[in-house]
Amino acid sequence: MIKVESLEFKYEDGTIALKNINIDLDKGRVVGVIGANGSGKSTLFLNILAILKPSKGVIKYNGEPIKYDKKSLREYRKEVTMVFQDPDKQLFYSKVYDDMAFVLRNLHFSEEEIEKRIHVILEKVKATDLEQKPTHFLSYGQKKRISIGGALIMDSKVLLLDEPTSGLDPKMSKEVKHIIKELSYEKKLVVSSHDMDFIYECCDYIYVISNGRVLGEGKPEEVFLKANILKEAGLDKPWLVKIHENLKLPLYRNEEDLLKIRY
Amino acid sequence: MLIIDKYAYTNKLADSNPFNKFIIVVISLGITTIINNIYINLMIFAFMIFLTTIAAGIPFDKYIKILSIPMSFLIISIITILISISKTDIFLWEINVFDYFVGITRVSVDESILLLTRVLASITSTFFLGLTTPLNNLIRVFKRLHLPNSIIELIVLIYRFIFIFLGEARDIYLTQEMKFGYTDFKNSLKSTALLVRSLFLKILLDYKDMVIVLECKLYDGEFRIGD
Ligand SMILES: Nc1ncnc2c1ncn2[C@@H]1O[C@H](COP(=O)(O)OP(=O)(O)OP(=O)(O)O)[C@@H](O)[C@H]1O
Ligand SMILES: [Mg+2]
Repeated sequence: MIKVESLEFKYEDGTIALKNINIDLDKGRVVGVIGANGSGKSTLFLNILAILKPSKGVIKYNGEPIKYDKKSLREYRKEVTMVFQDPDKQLFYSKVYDDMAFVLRNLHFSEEEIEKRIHVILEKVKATDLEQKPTHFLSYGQKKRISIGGALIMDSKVLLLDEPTSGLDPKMSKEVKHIIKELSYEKKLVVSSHDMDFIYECCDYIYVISNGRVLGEGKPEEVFLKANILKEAGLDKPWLVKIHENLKLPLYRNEEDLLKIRY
Repeated sequence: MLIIDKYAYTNKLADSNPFNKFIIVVISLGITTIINNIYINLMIFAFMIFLTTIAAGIPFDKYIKILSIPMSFLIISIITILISISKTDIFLWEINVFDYFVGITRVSVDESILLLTRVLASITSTFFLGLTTPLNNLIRVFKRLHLPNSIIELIVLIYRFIFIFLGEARDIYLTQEMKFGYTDFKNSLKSTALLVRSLFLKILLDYKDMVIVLECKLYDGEFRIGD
């Protein structure tokens, strides 16, 4: 679907944020991008979204390089969209309903269709009670939920999520995990995070990024056993991997499996 | 969070038809400007207070507080109109300054009272609309009135930026205060200068982010509200 080929990106001030990046999003249903602060995750996402234009290399969508003229970009962004790191920046309108409707109205959907879709999506992100609320009254976690909903409503084929769990309490994190799991049956997801436990449980293919380069890639059970790569990237191991290595337990993919077997 | 905005969303009339409210307000504004009658003005004044506090349920003390801001300007202006200076004694009440009289005349009293009631009626009318109607509903009215899109766009963006601006300003101010940035006069001046500078930079960055978000949401130059 989306392939990034020898991508390099340089900011105006000369910072080379990405170097020779090769990524193939077909390798997993939920692809994780992990890396320390400033490693280039958000920059990579903005390149994939075609908001930033690579200095070198190409990004291919369905085998074709992305075109950067206005019309093609509009078509492209119907298929590929993103949930931003900071929900405050993503919410635009003052009422949850209108904010979610915004993109559909831009696409000239009928009001009935819009209402139908909003109800389905609010149900999905467990926010039906927030429909008529002004967005600036919402708590951080609620804003995050609405901003995920605002991206889902477009029904894109690919959804990028930049740090979907940052700033969330454990319960909300779990809910987001659940939402991601459900969504993975409908569309391609790309998730960035420095929450290793979250990535380990959600993703089925992982790219490790450090200083703008891909340090390693593979299935989570493989990548997280490579201690040297994680160390170089400045990342920690998920706790399930730690107990596997230190307590000689089998390597479980999630907490539920572990609990089921132990008790 | 602006208190005015809070009430606009939470009052009992928030979801009522914005066109009706708009028409009521336009009519009462029209009456106070065309008909010079103190009693009619006072009636509009009372009616609007009734609508805002009782019908819409906005707490009376908060309402008075919000009204007190324009009121202070109003009182200052009324005083300047009330007082006049003349060489001849035409005053109801006056003081002598050298060979001039300073005081209030019959005409100035009448004029001031008329003006005062007219302004009271107008302020409470516009406040009624502003305090009880969420922005989105107001935009619906503007669209119906066929206001140009660029003006509506400006309103939406300015409104959005007021929140970004206030939020950022509050965050920076609190950080500075925590770091003892406002302990003495020199300090405060420096901190204020820094606040303005970082506010400006932050707003520029926020603007960039906002453009990205608008692009992702396929914004094409028109804010659609849907009717
Ligand atoms: N607008 C910009 N201009 C110049 N350099 C930038 C800009 N935005 C980011 N950078 C730099 O590019 C590099 C990658 O930043 P990026 O935001 O992509 O990191 P990240 O992996 O998303 O980090 P985080 O986990 O903190 O969100 C960093 O060194 C950063 O300083
Ligand atoms: Mg980032």
